[in-house]
Amino acid sequence: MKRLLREPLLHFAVLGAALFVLDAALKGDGPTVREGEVVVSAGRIEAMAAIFTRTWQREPTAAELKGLIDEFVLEEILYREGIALGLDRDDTIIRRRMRQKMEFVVEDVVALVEPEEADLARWREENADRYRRSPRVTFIHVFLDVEERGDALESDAAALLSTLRSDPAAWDPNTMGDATLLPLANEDMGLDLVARGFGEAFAEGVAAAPVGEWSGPIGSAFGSHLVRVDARTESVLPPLDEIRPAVERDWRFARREEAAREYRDGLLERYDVTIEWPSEPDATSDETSGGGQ
Amino acid sequence: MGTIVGQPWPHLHSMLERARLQPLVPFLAAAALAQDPAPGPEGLKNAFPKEDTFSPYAGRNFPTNVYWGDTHLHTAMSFDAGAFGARLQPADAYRFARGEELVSSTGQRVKLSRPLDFLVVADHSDNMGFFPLFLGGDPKMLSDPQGREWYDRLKEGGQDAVAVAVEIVIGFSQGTFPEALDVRPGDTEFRDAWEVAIDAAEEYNDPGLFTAFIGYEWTSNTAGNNLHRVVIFRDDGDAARRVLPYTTLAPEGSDDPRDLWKALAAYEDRTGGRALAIAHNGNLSNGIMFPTIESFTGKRVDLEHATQRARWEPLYEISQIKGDGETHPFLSPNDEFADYETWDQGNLDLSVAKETSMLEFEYGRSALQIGLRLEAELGVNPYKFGFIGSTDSHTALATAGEDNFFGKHSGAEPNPERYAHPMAQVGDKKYEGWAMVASGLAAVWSRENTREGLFDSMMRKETYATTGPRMLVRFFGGWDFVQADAEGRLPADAGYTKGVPMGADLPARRGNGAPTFLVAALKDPLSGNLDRIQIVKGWIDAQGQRSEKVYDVVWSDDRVAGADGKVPPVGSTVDVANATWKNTIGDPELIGVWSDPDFDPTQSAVYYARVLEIPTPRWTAYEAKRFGVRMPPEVPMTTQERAYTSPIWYSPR
Repeated sequence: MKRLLREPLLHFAVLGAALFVLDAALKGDGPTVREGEVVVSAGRIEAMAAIFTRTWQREPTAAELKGLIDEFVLEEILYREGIALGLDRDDTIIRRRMRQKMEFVVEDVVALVEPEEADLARWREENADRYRRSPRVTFIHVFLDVEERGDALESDAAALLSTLRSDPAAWDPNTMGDATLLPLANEDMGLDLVARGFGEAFAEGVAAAPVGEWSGPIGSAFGSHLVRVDARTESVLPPLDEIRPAVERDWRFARREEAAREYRDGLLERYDVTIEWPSEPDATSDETSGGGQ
Repeated sequence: MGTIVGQPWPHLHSMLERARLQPLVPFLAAAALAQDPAPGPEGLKNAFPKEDTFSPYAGRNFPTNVYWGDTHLHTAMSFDAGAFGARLQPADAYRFARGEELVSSTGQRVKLSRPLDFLVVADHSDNMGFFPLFLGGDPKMLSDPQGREWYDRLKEGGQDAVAVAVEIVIGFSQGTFPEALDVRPGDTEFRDAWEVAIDAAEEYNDPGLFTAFIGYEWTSNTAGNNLHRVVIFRDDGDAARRVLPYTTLAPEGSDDPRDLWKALAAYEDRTGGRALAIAHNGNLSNGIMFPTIESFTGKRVDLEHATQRARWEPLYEISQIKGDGETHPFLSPNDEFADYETWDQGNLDLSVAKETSMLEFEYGRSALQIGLRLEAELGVNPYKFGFIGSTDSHTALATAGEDNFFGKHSGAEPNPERYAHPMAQVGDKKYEGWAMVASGLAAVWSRENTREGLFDSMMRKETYATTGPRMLVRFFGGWDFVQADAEGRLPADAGYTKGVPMGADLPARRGNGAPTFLVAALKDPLSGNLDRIQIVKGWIDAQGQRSEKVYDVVWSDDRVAGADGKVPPVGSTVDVANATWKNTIGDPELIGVWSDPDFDPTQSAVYYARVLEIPTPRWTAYEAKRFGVRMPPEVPMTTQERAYTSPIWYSPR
């Protein structure tokens, strides 16, 4: 039953009924309006007066109100006659307006659906990549300017690497290697940000480097680097409580899309669609009927 | 989520910390700091003091993060964007900026190469929410004959729909927009649209990870002359909900910027919040963006006007899709890089052609100079602004990359013909489709990625503009920078300790020398190497004439400056046919110290840095390659992307 209560289609049904009742209340004549009868209820008159007041910043006079009512009666009759004649059927404006109203209804209804804990937990699991925090690395590096060092790059790098490996205290950021604007000491930095700052290849190198010892050289968009990774965490999927707002926002967004699609698909299922191609059908056309995007 | 030097330094040096955490008095704080005894180069050499701390990660403290964003993006909520075919909403715009893949309004899959750190959805306040109503066939709107005609043609779609959008924009700027189609601040629909904008920003704002600012665009466009401003709120929805976006039509609104400033002041009084405004596209204002004579009153800009403009408009959007706004070749005949993505045929709707006398009141560089003149006259400089770039896309997609450019509006999303469809055309004057600029981005130096942190950096102008790439740029001014500061390992330490950052005033003069500047740039790892860094100086000479000079400060590839002092072009490695290039020329980073050789201590002056990349393929080259189209010979196929820093000002005291 609980599951059923959360079905969008049920909501549509309930909402449809509610709209019907509301309309009936405004008309004041219930669902059994007789053909050939127009009843202008007190509720309807009050509504017309309120709209007038909002537009003109004053209440309508008796004559004006009578004019509004007469207009409404005439409009109601013409509307019904027009519908009876099928004039609404080929009118793009009316069709599009109806479609838009239906779409609003779908969106509004889905907005009412509240996620349960289990929904959010499942959503987080199923979309783990979206919420997974990038691995974090703590590293220092020595920069080598490729252009500056030219052919000596490889031997310079090897010599520096051997110095750094033999003496853990040898690292001196103030003198070692070449100057760079890149940050030399990076603490607990997301690997995604390493990639944005140094380039993808360098981030991959740092992700694969041994922890606690100097290694390299690793190439970047800027030059060559000897690297000592001091700490590296695995990528983690944060617990739901830490990311609840984002999970809930994304769940709602997806639910809205999904419900709209389900609803359209449900409607399509209830119809037999026959497409009568002109005699020379366009063989390359891949258009589908309905469904939308 | 900073990009490059983005590491959280845990230990904070108290003095610098104080200087950085006082957004309301940044200049005072920075000046006071700079007057403290400056450490010599020796002190700076030991920027990692081993004896004090075991950890190599300890000991740094200034804004080490530059955050990237777009302060100017439109969605389907903007009446013109909707008319052009945009269907994506503010929430979609934020999702896209955060790095998610989306399907564009024309049904194409699209994703950013790297996420942005912040975004301002800035839909037009006039007629906000008009388009969804109109498209839905609002009866009142369709009862108007013009409305009905537009509606019918919109349904046709394609270029006819684009033509309708142009007519709607022109109708609005020429005051011929049918009243029946107006959505005004008193209407429920207007309030609803504003709520949609606020809700989206609230929903996607993630302090520390992604900043979604609340904002809108005030689109003063009387007679087609562009005086547009983007308004940005520092505050949350609670405050922003207490006002409606300010519009340009009387009685609720006004097309005079002075009335916008009053509306912003009223917002601050009422809510205790903060707001700022950023003007853009002076190039389409036909001489009224940076006036000395007010276009509204015909009177000379006075003290009150200057004070208010400086108060509310700390930044100028200097580069975007509708042209680059740094300078014009007519204004800067000696600057060989001045003619960059120039849009100068007329005003926004091309109803009035451009005259050269208008130009000096339209561009960022000349406005900085005019500001000095007005300051001498009034005591206040109205045009004392920093720079940012942004897209002004009307697609809900903040795409500033040449290789991923989704165009000005949804009618100009990628397709084989878009280069050939003019953006606007009146007679033989036109803004060509291929002239769209895949630009730009806003770079903000800040300690944190939050509405408050970024807004406060914008107020103190510690920002710069780029035409799309994410190069990292530092620019400091002081009185005793020396070459060793550029050779040291931590130039930013030297910069903040011995001087002031971009956007600030030079501290009071020390000694008898000229001001010195430390400037550094690191390339975007995904873009071209760097060609050179230049410093652009502006001043008013003894005869009262605007004056400017561009100095090459540091450049790549051991080139030698010619007799005229200019460094020769860097060359090009672009393979246009394949839309590729090689980083075999240029340098990945450049850094230098420069002292003004023409300094006159009695003369006010303004300095900013311009960083040029080596040539890379322009979006038109990618387009030609992908769609197999042949562009006409006048279409530029390469570009030299660039960055413009906020200026540093000197004034004799």
